[in-house]
Amino acid sequence: MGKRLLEREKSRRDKDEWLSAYLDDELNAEERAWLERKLASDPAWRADLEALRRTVSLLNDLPQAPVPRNFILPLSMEKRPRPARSARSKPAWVAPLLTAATALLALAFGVVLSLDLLFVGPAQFASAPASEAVSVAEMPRDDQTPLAENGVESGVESGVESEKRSAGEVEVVPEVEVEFDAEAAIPPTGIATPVTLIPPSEEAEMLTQYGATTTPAGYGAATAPPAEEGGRGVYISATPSPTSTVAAVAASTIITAIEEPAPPMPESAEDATPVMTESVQGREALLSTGDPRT
Amino acid sequence: MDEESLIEAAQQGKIDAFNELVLFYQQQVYNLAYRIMGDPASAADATQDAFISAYQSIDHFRGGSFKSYLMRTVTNKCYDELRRRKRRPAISFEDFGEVDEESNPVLTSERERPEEVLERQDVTHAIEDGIKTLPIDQRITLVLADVQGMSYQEIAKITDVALGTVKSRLARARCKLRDYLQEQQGELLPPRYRHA
Repeated sequence: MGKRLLEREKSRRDKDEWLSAYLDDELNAEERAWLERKLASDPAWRADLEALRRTVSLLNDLPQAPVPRNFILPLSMEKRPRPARSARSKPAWVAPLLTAATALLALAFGVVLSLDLLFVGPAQFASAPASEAVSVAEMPRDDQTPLAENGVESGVESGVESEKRSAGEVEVVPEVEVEFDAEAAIPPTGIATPVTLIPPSEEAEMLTQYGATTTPAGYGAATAPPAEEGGRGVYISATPSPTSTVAAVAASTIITAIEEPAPPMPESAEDATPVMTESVQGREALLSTGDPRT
Repeated sequence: MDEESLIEAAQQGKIDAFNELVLFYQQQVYNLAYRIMGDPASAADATQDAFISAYQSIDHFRGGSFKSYLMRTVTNKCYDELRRRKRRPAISFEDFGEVDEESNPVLTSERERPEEVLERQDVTHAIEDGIKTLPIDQRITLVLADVQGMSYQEIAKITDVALGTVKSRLARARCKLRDYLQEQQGELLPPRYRHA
């Protein structure tokens, strides 16, 4: 029973859609021909079609309702014109690219800084007294006494300063190199151990590689470099280029390890510098002239 | 200024240009809303909301029929409002009252005789009441097709449904309205509208 009702309802819907489409001329030629044969043979279909046609006609004849008012929008609603996207504007992919580049730079900076603090930092702290000694040595003096004559460490003077000095003062340096005893220059503490562990050939190679110079006088860690080299002897660290890399940092670390005997340098330099020379010369003078106290 | 230039100016934010489009289309937009909603006040609200939305989103209009763009906007407004009312049964169509013919000159004409005016009003009332009995989807489809005279393709685009769905919805809506009018014919419809 229910199945028959469902089929009748489905058939009715099919008929409604056929008739509705026929009124709107939405059937193709074949469908139209079939429906017209059906309408010719079935009065019920014809009655339904006419009722549907009148309904649609009533709808089409509905009068137009006049608008009760104008629906124009107030001027206060006017939107700001959107700026036209100029050709110069950055494309969409620039922002993430710049962000990634910034992140990489920050990461690289962090790595370099970490390596610097890990390897270079302590060595720099250890060599700080030497630097202070340099700055003290470079301070202007009231008496304008030549550094060599005052017995201040000449080994930490720059080549430029050496050139500025008088010829007599410069002559002191070679004398030191000749008379300096490396074993005496090395303090008894373990600080000088790294220097002794580096063979002279390797030291020269490393210093030459990173732009520093050394003397050919064996373990001459305390010896002053030739003035024309513009170096600071063993106190000179390889100056990193503007494009400093991790390798450069490592190189400066190695050189700083060589510098580690720097703190005792002023003591040994006292012996190795003109003070020591003067004392040696004084001893020689005393030997030759005799002790005035005796 | 032609319609395309007005649309471009409106897309640049010029509200004067958009208001010219409003004046040109407001009759059709309001009538669609009126036939769907069934009362002038709701139709006016839907029409105003539709023009505001159309102006605010006119940047998204990418050519084609501007009339269809407006009709789709007002149809959506009506659809949202009808669905909102359906969710709140306390607000019924009857709460908005009957259409006041005195304040709605559309239902009168100076050229018609009084008995003709009365007869036409009866038919119009019967049709409007019949439309109100239809489900929302069928009502919108029927108004778009038989009141606004749109094609199946336009209706499918406006209501965002398949062409077959438009056909079936329209057929069912017509037949339901036909059955409703046949039930009322003895009392409401004039003899010339009745079945033979």
